[in-house]
Amino acid sequence: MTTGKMSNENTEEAAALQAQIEHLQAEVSALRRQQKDDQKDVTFHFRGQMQNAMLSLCGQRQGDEKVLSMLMEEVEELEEDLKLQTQMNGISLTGCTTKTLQSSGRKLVQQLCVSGHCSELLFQVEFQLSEVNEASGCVRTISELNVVIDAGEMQNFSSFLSGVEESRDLLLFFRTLRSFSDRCDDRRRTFQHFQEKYPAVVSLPAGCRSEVMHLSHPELPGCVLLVHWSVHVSREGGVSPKVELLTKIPERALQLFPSQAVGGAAEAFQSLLRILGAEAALEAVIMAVSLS
Amino acid sequence: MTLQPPKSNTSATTSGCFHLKQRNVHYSTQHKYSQNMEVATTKGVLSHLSRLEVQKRSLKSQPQQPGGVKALRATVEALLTQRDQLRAEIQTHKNIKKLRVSMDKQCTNEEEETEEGMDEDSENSNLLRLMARHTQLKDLLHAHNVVGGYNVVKTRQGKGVCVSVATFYEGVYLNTYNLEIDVKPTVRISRHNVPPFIPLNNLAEQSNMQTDLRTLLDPLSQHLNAFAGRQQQFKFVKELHKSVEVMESNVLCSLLVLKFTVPREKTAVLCSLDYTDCTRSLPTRVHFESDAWYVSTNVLNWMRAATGSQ
Repeated sequence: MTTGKMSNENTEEAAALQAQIEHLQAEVSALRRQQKDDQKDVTFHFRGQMQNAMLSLCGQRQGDEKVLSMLMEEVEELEEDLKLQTQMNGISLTGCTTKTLQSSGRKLVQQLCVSGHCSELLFQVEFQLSEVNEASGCVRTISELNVVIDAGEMQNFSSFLSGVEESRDLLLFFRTLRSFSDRCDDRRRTFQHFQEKYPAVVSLPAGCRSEVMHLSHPELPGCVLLVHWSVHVSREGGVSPKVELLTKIPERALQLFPSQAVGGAAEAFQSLLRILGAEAALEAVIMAVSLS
Repeated sequence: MTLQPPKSNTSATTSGCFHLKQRNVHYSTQHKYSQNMEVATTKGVLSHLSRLEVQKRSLKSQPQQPGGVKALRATVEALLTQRDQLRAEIQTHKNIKKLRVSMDKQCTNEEEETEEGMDEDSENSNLLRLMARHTQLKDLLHAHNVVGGYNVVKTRQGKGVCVSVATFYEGVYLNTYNLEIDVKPTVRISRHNVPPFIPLNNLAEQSNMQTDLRTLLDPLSQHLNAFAGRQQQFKFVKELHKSVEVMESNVLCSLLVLKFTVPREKTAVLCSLDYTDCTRSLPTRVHFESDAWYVSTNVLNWMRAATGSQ
């Protein structure tokens, strides 16, 4: 083999390697761009323990067991934190998906879809969240708010919901939802309490979560006093319970007892309500019905 | 093969001399194979030497020396590693995202728990699932913050908590107010930055905060948000229009007196807005006053509509 021939082969190999290098460099640049794109979504931009785990999975880091346990520790801390926030905020969030619409140095726009429940009320809200870094600080705004709640409660909430979507008041929606849920819980507790205490007189035909409690003396099944406890939500988000007493007494019975005490029960109850409050007023009525 | 220029004709080995001689005969076109071996050999050696010199120079000028090829091979290896690493990271990302989607569906009970067919071994798939759960938890915690949660943080080994109340109006997040609360031995507010005209102490007394902090925080949030709403409205009114002037306002933003100067009619109307309900950001009473003996009903109607009063 002569030196000339050898140099020729070197040249060929070198040229081939050079071409391969250029090809690989292009591939790496394309992959880097794709990765940058993937990481635009804040959720999937990994840092800390997550970054370590990622590197371990891709073969760069050693000590897999340690990475797993450290990440496990962090996940447990997050689970605890979530439990704490859920308890303090009075709402249970079961799902949050984010989609990054725009991500530049100063501005981040995300589309969020949050679903969960407040007590037994299911909800799903979708909105756009913008975060802009300005001289005065970070300014967060909401736009395009869309709210969906459990179909059963829709009629109660419809005017409030349209108002909230118009004013994009996401926080008011949740404050009101929680308030509403608290008042419904008050009702449920009270109804259940009375049913347990006076089982002969009190019945809840539609369950303890319903708006109506039936009161009747066992020996007079045809005469029923209905307690209608509704929770009203105003357009502004004001939550107000309203308790009414309705009588379902057959005409013949009313004729036998023409006194105002029975006919005017509804109005009398309202006065009682104002003086004693809901629970005490209801107890008084129940005592009266049980004729004790 | 090494080329050794002969030291001398006579001392050269037979083969070496013979090669040279052969070379001379081969390359040297000027010299025929002659009887005068000495002359022919010398001339051949010289030209051979010059030939070697030329070859050496041409080898140097070529960039791909054996050392150069090695470097190129190393670069290729490095790039291959880099490429494979990036591919692995991108694929892992994809796997985590896919896992996350199926986890989200499980949480909303849309899907039965299914094992996504992963090519990784069980240890890797555990790590992947853990990573997907991590992203889910971070998102849920972010959501709690975004929807106006109290951002409760335990402090001093459980002896206290820190909460923040967020305010919001017309799509914009406004100020956040913070409270440091002792939890042991009793629940007590230790520090806060709630403005003094918000009746925090009253709210605390009326609440059930010993058993349920929310009985304090929910009404407080209502007050603060109503205040923030009024404050923003007052701010907007100041920048509104030159025909509208703010005559009086207070820190709580519960009273606002505006002077409207009706352009065409050159009359001034004083408009007082009372916000007596501090839990609301809308006025409870609007009052108009004017010295002009006549203010057209059109203007009055417009003002009524503009301030939302009956």
